[in-house]
Amino acid sequence: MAGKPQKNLAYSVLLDFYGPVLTEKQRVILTEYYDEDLSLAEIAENLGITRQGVRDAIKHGEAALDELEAKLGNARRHTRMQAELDRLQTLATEIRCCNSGSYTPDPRIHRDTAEMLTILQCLDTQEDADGL
Amino acid sequence: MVKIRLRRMGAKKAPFYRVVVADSRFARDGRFIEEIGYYDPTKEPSVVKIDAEKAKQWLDNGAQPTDTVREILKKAAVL
Repeated sequence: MAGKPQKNLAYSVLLDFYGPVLTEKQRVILTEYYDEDLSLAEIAENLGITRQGVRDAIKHGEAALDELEAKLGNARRHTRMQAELDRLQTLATEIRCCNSGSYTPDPRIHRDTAEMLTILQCLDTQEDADGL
Repeated sequence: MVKIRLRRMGAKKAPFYRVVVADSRFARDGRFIEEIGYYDPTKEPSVVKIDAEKAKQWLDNGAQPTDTVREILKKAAVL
């Protein structure tokens, strides 16, 4: 089996972003290939098409996903945003803890950091709900 | 044939995979015989957790890992 090309699971994430733009057939086949880890032969049997047909659909689907990501960059942006949201959450929590640990905790800091954390939480879940 | 394959779980944009033992005849309907571990590629470095004993037992009994699972089993030092 040496030298066999590995499945690149990064396509599984690109499929989350751009799946709806692909053709129905490409989407179904890529989902079975990446998310269910089925082989070309198994997908071919499921769909009643040839193994070569499955391979072509995967290649075309991957090319489409690569092109969409190169032009739109939603996955890249999401990764960066996620890291920055996490960082902001850490910082807000730190400020909150410093304040509540001080001799004279400021109620405004307490209130405002609570609001910041709520907003960050919303941004996090909202993005998932939008599916964008 | 019994296969060992990945099955994606987890939220959109945050993939997380179970490593499952499944009958290849039921490749599509999500049925599986046993879960033997998981793989989380979102962490840096990726996290692999495998019940080595169960994995070896299934492999000895002729279960076929997919290429992807084979790599993961190697990473987990089961293969």
